[in-house]
Amino acid sequence: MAEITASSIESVLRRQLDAIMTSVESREVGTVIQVGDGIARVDGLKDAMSGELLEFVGAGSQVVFGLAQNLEEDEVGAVLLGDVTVIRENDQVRTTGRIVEVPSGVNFLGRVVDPLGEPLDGKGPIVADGYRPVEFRAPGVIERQGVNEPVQTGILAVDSMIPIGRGQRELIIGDRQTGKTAIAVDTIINSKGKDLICIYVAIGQKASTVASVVETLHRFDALDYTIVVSATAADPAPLQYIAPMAGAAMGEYFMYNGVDGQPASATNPGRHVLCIYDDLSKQAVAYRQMSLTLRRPPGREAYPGDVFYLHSRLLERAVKLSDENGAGSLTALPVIETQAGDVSAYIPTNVISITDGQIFLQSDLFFQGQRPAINVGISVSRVGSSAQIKAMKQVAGSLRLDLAAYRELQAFAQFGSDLDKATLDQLARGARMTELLKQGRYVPMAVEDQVVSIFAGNEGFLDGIPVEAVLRFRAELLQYLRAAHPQIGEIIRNEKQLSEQTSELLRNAIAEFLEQFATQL
Amino acid sequence: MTTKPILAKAKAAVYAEVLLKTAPDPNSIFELASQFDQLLKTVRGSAELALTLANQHLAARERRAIAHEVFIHLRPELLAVFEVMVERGDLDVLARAHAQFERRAEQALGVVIIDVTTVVPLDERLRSLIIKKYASQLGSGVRLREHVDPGLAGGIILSLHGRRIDASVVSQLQSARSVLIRP
Repeated sequence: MAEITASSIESVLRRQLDAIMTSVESREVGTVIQVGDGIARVDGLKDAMSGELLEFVGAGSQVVFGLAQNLEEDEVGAVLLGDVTVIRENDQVRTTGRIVEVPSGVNFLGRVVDPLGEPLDGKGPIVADGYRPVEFRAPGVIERQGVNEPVQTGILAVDSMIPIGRGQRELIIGDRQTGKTAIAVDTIINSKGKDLICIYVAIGQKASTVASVVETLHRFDALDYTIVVSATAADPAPLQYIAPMAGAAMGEYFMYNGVDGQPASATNPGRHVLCIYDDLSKQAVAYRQMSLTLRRPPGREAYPGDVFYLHSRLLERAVKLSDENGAGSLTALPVIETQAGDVSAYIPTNVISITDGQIFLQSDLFFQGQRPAINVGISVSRVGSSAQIKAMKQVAGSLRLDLAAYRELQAFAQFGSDLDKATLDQLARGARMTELLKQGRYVPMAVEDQVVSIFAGNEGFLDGIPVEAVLRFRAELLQYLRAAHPQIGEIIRNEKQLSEQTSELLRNAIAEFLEQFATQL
Repeated sequence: MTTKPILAKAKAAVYAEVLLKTAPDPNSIFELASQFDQLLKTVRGSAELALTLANQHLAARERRAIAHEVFIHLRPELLAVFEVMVERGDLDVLARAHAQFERRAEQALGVVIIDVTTVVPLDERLRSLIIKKYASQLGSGVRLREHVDPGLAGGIILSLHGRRIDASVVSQLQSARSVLIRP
């Protein structure tokens, strides 16, 4: 610990005193006419800009910030971003000339903060490396390049058939309690050591749920590269409204700046970020509440007319930057909660049309035991195989079609009793491949393990095993390969493809293991 | 396009114009402007009072009587105009009427009205210094509306046309505090 001396105290004090500005400035001021429900109407402020940060000076000179939302002829409607109880009628309001900014930097990793960057985890103040505006123009076409690197979620069903790439927007959609957050958390856990900064934005959730997520991330050492931005159900609607944008802004700091903190460029690569917005349905509800209180005219389902723009401008900030701009990326995993599986409702259809694919989770699959409860038939990734390593493309290329054929056959087979051998074999293979896709929580699979598992299924090694033994087979096979043939996993990891030689090696190793396994059945 | 803002603007103009015409002399106009300012702050500062005066379930004469009782100390011209406003349920145009009256008063007097807040009452020297400085800057006569607020600790705050120049000691101290407590 550095020794504290009188001269060090003096130098710190002098530096801070020099930073004090004593100049007198002329500022535009207004007066609060009405305040309530997190909204304030302000008289005056004729030069206020839309989205400008306003300073409300309350009792005891306490300052509360607000956002100018409604610019009317002789008053401004603003949303309050802090303790609304200190603001009363006749209080003074000042313009600041700037929009809302949030701090960001490496010191935020491992911390839980509110949408304004204030720490919530009791671990002390955070020194920011820089500030980013909450509302930021998404990069244009020229500044981007195509998605070409995978985000490995560690979930077999996702990485094989609904691959996500860095810079993509992939929606996770489903009813309550279907495992949406579990997919997001598993993705974060699996991002360890993969040079991916994760930002989990909790919007309108119970504080206990957020605490549980934080505890899970901590347990799996995933918090070290994660920022949790929390706007719980107890927080005012304006904070829930800006939370996803604050998360995106914090992520953009890392994407637009290199490790040295300097702007990213061709010689100074930007970093890769994963932003999870859990969930945007609640952000839309908060925005609806704010807009109705601001007396904006309601549209469909009482949402304001620009609710689509709310989500589209947020999700457009997900990007894979061109090499000239540092090649950093921001991947977005928005979450939407449906009611009774209705994906044709207003907000779900809006977000589906914005994103580059969706992962559908269905309650009936969940209760049938298929977990993760992903309906692979209607889930899609529009980026597709350009976000997969070659080895995965080789083994999982036809998996989706095979499973689709299996489901069709399964429905048909319910009516018929006499089936030919080919049909029975196809049904048996489909049942085992479907069983193979099951996976527990917080046990993400490395990509080489996924490749091996699907390879085993494709080559027919599962055909002789009872369906209920498939998962045990998979687990023990992977353990066996790690112990007896570690070079196979290493080859797949390094070469990222299955050569003929590797395939033969793998085939022989699995056959070897199957002999032992079969004796235990 | 809604006609309500247009109507409110027109009503506010009528109230402001009538009030101006009832002022017997320039000094009264200035006093009316000051009292109108206080009236607006009082109504805004008390939600209960504002709701009562705007309460359509109360009879018009009842609302008028309440307004008369609360604001009896005002100049009779202003009180009369305000009572009519309350009786007709036009309290929502009070702020507009105030803004319009301020503008008309400044035009009628040929001055710009500046609100000056200090810790102790201004002395003649400081008063004439401020008037001279802003008269030359604004190219117009200046009239000061003086307020005393011991909470400033020192210095001065000037407000005109929605802009505020804060040279008070308390705001300087707050600014220093925010720098010193920064991590």
